[in-house]
Amino acid sequence: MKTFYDTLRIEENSCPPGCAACRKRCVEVKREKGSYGTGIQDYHIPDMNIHMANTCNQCSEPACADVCPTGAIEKDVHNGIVRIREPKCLGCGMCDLACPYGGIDFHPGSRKAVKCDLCDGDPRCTDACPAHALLLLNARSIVQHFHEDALLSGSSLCIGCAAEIILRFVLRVMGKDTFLFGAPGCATNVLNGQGIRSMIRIPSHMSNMTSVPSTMTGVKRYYRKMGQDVRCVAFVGDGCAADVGFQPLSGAAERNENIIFICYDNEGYMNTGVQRSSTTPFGGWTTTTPAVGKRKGKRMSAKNVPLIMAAHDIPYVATAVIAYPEDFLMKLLKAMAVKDGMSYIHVLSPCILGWGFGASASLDVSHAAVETNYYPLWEYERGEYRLTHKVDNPKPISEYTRLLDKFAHLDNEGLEELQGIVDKCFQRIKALTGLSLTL
Amino acid sequence: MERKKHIIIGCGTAGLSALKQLRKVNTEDHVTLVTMESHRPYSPTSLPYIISGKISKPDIPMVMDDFFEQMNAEWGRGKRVTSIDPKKCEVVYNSHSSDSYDSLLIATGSEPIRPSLPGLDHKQVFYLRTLDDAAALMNQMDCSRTAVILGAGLIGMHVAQCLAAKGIQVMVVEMLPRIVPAYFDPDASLMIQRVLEKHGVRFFTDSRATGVAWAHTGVEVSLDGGDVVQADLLLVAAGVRPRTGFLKGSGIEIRDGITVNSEMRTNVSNIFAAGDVAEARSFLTGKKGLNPILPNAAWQGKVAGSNMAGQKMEYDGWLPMNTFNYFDHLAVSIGKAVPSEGDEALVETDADDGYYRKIICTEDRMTGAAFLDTHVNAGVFQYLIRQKVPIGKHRKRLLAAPRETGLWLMHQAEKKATISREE
Repeated sequence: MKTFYDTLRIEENSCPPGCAACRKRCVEVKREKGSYGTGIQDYHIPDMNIHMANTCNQCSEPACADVCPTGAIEKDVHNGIVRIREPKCLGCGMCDLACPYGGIDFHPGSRKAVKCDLCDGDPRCTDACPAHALLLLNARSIVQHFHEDALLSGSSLCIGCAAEIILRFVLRVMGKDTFLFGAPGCATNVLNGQGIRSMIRIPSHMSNMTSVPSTMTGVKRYYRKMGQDVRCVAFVGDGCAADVGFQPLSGAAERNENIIFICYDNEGYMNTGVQRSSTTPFGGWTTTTPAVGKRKGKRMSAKNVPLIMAAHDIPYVATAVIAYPEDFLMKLLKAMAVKDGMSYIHVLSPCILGWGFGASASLDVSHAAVETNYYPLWEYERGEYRLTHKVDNPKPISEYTRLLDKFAHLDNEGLEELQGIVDKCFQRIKALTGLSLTL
Repeated sequence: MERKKHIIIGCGTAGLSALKQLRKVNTEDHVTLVTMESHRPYSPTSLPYIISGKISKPDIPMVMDDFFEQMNAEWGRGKRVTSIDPKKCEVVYNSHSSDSYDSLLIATGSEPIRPSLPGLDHKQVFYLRTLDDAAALMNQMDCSRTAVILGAGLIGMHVAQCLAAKGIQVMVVEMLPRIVPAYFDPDASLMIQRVLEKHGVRFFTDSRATGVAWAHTGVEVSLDGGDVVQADLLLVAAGVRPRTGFLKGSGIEIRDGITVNSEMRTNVSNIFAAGDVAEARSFLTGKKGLNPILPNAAWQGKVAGSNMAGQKMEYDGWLPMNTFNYFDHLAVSIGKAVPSEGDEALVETDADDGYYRKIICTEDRMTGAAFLDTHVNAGVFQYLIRQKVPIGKHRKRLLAAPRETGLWLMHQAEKKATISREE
């Protein structure tokens, strides 16, 4: 697990024109430490309206360290920071020549190489940025909550499937004493195994879509009777949570059973050949809501299951995406802490096959869903609604739909209508967060 | 699993890089590194900086003191390999002891070319390839007021600059009409030459030394034009050639260097070669050739190490590139220095500010770039060349704002590699 390190993320093209706040701060910090130069560089191409910053990626196999003729560059195995030991630096420029990402800079005065050292884990440039475009992603704080990986490798899920990463993440956080429940869906093979081999290393059970919450109820109560506190966790798709198994889910919530119910929402029945479900969004293409001629995908908007679950007034409800793992982790920990009732987490799980995007883009799609407010990240905790990731300048919905083939048929009119739905839905959640403040 | 036995000859960049890679992919095998030197591993790249005084001797080793322990590798110093027997899988050290191997890496680097010139066999002729060479040169430097350097390659120029900075009158003799010909075009070469001249370095380009005469007052080098250059110190920097002498009769194929395939394997399947000694594929032409520079050695060592451990890795070819710091100036060159037929070369230069920028495009992509006194991230240009990023309509912009445009094109290309939306 040593290979998980913190990263400084720079939001693409979101710097104010001409701004050099991060660089100026870095120069100050370096000078305070008796060093020179800067570890972060702003760059601007005004006529193309490009305003960005660039810094070291703290690579896992840094090319700069490979070529340093005096071994002055080293990757710290504890925190992953790639550092230059200044007395050993010749200023020969080999590192700059080798780094493909422009992470090294020469200080003109000293002719020595300079780079970002993440301020030893607390990059000071992040506060200096007026656009909040710099963010330290705390991989390490996530990893310290990780338990042994309960999933083996080689599932039959599609390559790049977000659901598998989501499940792996959930189980890593949950650890032992977890009993996993599932229903027919994409994750069936993960739970049931393939052939004679199962890929899961904790107790698991697959029941019908209509009996997951009741099965969990029984198992949880039985263990409690035996004096054991076992975490009962469901991992089911939207077909089960929103459609077929909705009544028993609502029933379990009404009884406030102490279970954790996680829905991976791929917005349709994907393993049976991409049919619409009640969470398929407005305009979304599926085989049962085709986009041919006058037909332009689904005409109704999606059922908002997490809001409905919150209306049951169970202790904890949240939405999450895997692209914001710190946020997801925090929500899982909160759900695990609930001992007096039910928790429900709704996770958006982009589907490569059903939504139509490249196998490597699941995280980018999740990210865009949040940044356009298509899928706001919020939680409902004991009566209080809270937005957990505020998007300062939400991007237009087209920034999300353009990534996906399932929206390829949408014309401007369709996009406007979808934008309207997204805005309305977001306003509703925002209003709820305001409501909790006045209570 | 049985532990294999790997021997790496040479403790330079390529050899160490191979060792690190072997350990990265395979932790069990037995690895021995041998070097003919007695010093801790260092790179010849650092030698000019020792001469200039920018770095002190204790700071130059490439690895920490406990590196070989950490890598669980045996390190034999003072062991000169005198011959190899590929049939018996054996190497012979210092003509008497021997050792066997399962796979062997030849990373012996290069040695300076010693031109056959009357008078050049004298013991006062200096070269700069080893730490001992540097120490000897520094001794002589302290009691010299004038110096002559044969060869205006990067090593020669680097030393010329160091000596000139110390107040020594330097004269440089170069056969070709211009200096640093391998990396820069005539215009850029001349700009660099002008700066060095301003700091007192005298150049005799287009000149060939015909003889060297020694007197107690110093050395006299006669040139083919009739000039005679007198100095206290003579340094020969006529380039380097692969150190392959010990391979005579071994059956390993050698042309200019040891020829290797894309796995860095020689014609003998369990013998590999990497670094200055290897004649590998060129990224730009696809033909095999020598390109003895550090970044190539590092990458080749990595490829060789991986394949020695049985994990297939391919080398996509070397690319000429270098940087040169001279006085307060910086020159960078990546890829082609002069355009080939059909290429387009774009140049922007400013005589007042002294900057010079050039990019060479082959069809829609860049194949070469050179910058003098321009703030760029050189590696980004290497990326654009190696990834064959189409630069299309941005070529003019690349000249006008190379740092910004380079970074942006790199970011776009990286993004495309991550979000590869299938149409």
